[in-house]
Amino acid sequence: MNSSLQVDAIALQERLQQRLERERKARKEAEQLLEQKSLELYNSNVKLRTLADNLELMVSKRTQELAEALKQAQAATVAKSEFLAMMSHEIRTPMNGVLGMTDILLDTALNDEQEGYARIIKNCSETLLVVINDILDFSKIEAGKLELEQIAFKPRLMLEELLAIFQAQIQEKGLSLNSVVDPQLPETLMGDPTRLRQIFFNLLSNAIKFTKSGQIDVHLQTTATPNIIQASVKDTGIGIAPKAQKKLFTAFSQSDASTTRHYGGTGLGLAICARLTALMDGRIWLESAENKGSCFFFTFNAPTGEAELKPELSEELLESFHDLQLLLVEDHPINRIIATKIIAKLGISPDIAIDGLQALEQIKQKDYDIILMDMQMPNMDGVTTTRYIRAMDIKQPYIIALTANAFSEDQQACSDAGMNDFLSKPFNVEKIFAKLKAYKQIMGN
Amino acid sequence: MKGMVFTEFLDMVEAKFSADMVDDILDDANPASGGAYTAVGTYDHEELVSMVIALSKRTGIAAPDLIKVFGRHLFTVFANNYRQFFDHVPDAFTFLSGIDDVIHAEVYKLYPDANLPSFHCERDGNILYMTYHSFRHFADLAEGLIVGTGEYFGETLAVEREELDADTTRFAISKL
Repeated sequence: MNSSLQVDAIALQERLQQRLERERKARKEAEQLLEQKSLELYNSNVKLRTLADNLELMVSKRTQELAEALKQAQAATVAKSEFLAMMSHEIRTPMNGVLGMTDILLDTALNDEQEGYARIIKNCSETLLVVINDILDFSKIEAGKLELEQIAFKPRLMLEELLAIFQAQIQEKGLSLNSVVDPQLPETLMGDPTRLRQIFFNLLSNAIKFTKSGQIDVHLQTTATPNIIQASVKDTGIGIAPKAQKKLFTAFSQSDASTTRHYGGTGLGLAICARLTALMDGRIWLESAENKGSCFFFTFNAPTGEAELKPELSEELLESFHDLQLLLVEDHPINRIIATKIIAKLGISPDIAIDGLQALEQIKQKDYDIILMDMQMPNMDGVTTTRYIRAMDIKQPYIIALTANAFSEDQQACSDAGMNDFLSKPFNVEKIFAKLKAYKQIMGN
Repeated sequence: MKGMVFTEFLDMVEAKFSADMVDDILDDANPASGGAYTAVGTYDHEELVSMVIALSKRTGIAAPDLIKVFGRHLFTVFANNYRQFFDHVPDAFTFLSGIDDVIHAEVYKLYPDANLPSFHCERDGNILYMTYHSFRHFADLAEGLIVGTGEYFGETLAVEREELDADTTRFAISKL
């Protein structure tokens, strides 16, 4: 009995021992498994981190490349703008010469044949100037460089002047012209009359160009929306096919390619009109039927303006100009002649300097009331010369910049240098008169 | 301290003495962890110290001797469980020189929070100076491991010790 108990106890102990061994083995296997998995986890973490690092590296590389590309694109835009300004000046300067000298030529004693030739030169030059202006305007708008003026103007007067310009052409073609202005339309509006005139000019010349017989109607009216004015130009011309109407306001596209051959034009006119109306918070559209005619509508934002007197060439004011000591600083010989002639019409005979250095010499000798200062000159440009003058201990003159590129940056540079006003070329008697009048008003006050 | 040191210590006690001895020294030391160790855990090294002292009392063998013997045993366990660390390793000096850079680097992969001792090694001719630095003061364990390394590579190593400060002991190891 006793020994059998002992046998049982030994057997039990062995079984317990085996159980213990199994548990211990399981524990050790679990521990090994855990270490193995931990190592795998560690390795995949390392791989992930490497991947993330590479990705970050790639992102930063791409970012750098993009930044570089952006820098280049911006540099290209700057270069384009500078080129634009430069070309604007380079092209307009000789054109001003041609037009100005042709005018002077026409004022001289010519025989009929010569006068005929001179008039053709003038017409061709004016046509060429329109084309050049279209291209320059369009580039300027595309470059985001066009800034609209916000000045007072009289819409009725503007329309009258425009119609007067086209009167001869209309009569020549045997067309009739009818204009209706809404009596509600304010006497004076605030806006950019030059650009509005440009839109009307385009639409009117198109209407005349594409109409053989019938009439042209021009309307100008207020709308239900405050400050929004609507204009329309309607003709009885060849009309435009529905398909062609869609791309009409796209640059370099006319209603069909043969249009250019038949009627001329750059195909930019309506594209410029569309962009200008957009800049004026308006839009442009048309209604047209082939062989019946077209009607172009456009709207623009123009608040009612304070009535402002148009500068008039009053005798009294002209008298007051005679004593003005005026120095014209201009390097270009033809421009010098034209400017001198125009200024002479106001009864002023200006002194002349051909560049900034010579101007400084003359200023030391004599006090001037007004200096008309060209911007781009050899030896010393207008801005630099002005800085010198402003530093001099003299009776300070009123300086008006003469500039072929009417970009705002240039105007900023002028006023930064201490210039009082600027005058964009080509200039005429009215422009110079207005500037001198402004000078008188400032001096009077 | 890594749990493996504890589990291997108790395994050794069981193998060299008995399972009862394991129970006895656990009863004597009464460790805060309860004595249920796993190789992948981390435990207070004082628990090992208490167990060694308990074993020393019960067996009459000096604690440093026990620890050195344990060091040698522990090395054979390392060599069995982590064979990959011994591939292409020609001799004991090469292995010992790589403990900080190779072995411990691998340990940190598995146990980033491990607080391992450092073994700074310098060769001077036939002597390898190995500076053990640890707040746990287990220079005896280190010595046992060094001797174990020699045994693994079939080399007899003479180990001289010099205590530089409480935490630092310099071993001068030479091949006989």
